[in-house]
Amino acid sequence: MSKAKQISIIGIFSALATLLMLLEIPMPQLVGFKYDGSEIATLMVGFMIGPWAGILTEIIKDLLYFAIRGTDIIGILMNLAAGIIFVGTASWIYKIHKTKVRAVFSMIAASLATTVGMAGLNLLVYPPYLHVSYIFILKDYLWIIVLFNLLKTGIDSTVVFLVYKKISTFFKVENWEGKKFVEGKYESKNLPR
Amino acid sequence: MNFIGNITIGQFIPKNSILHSADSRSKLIFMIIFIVAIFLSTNFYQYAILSLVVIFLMLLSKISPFYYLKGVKSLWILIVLTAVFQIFSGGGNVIFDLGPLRITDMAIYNTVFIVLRLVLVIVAASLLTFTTSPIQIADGIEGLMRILRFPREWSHDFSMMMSIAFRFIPVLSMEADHIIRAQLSRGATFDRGGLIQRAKGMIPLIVPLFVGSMKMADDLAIAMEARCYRGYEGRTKFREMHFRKRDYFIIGFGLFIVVFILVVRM
Repeated sequence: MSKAKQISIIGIFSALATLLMLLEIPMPQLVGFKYDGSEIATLMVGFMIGPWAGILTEIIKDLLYFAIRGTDIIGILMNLAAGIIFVGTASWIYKIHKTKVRAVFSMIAASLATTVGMAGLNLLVYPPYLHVSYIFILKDYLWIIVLFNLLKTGIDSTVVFLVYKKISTFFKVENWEGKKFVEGKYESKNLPR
Repeated sequence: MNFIGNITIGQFIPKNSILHSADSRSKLIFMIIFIVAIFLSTNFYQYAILSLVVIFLMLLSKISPFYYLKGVKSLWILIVLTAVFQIFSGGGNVIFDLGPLRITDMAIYNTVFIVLRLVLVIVAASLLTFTTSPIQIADGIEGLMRILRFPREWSHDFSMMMSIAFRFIPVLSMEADHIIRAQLSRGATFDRGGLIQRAKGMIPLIVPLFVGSMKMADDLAIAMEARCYRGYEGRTKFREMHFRKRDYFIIGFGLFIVVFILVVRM
């Protein structure tokens, strides 16, 4: 795939992810937590191009979100960490063998990794930041975080699983007029200077 | 159903002040230093100094404090929850006793402390986003990557992706708007049922949106290659950034604050 195409896909999909993040849905059951579907777009890029592209999309999404609606820096950084763990793990496992079973396995592994990782990170960050005791977080707060992350990654994984095949067929179409494009021949680095 | 207003402007409030005309790189560095200073400080004297600095910068930015209050208001749930947790945390002498609810002086001290910290962090971020447009922040991040000696290709590609993303947010929001209306007119539901029902309801929205953006990306790539896009070589900029005296002054001011905080701590 040419570099221009990679750049444009990452750019446009991070715009899409930012848009989905701005359309956040508050969760009535969990006070203060909001679900957003932005991981759907980043995970899609991670599956289509590769883990690094997915992580880049995630970083750009959070930077744009900060620039547009920047208030809670720690919250945005936590979202970034969760997204990087989720997208990185899933697309790394999927990259090795691209089968349907592998995709399901990768998303389950990534959901578990995100849940565990975010539980650890919350334990690490919030007690010194908000001056609450570790025991309080362990006893009363941790289950909310675990539940929230499981729900969020679960919804994202389900939607990606249902949707990915329909969209990735369009990804493989090189030319929308139906002509076959010779891969590599027209890459920007092979063009005469 | 225009669900997102002026999105490309974000929170930027155009005014004619020193902070607005300063280089975005120096403002980014200052914000990072200032937040580090907030986390380093442990007693009220340090917070008093930081609050004075914030008030001084707010006056310097010529934006009415009302806007900053709005930024704080958007996170009121977090602040109120933390305050409630803190006030019953206990420790120290009892001031107010009401059966199971006991409020101590340590708890009040901690509550004020934490609320002040949260408000300072929020206002510091607002100071940046109110005085700097998103496009300037993107340029500033590219400049910071250049300063940190990232490979030239990386920083160029990164800023290219960011500017593409900025350009396409309004386009995509319009497209999403059209798709939502089209699917609603076909009888789709987005806002009914439980969480799973809602997730299922998102699929008729997501598939056309993603396919449309894939087509856009394809067209954009073809257009870029037709115009001989080949990375950073020989590219010039429309908006060039210059470090002036005041930018060095801003960074120096930030470093001075951190040193001062550390000295007061001793």
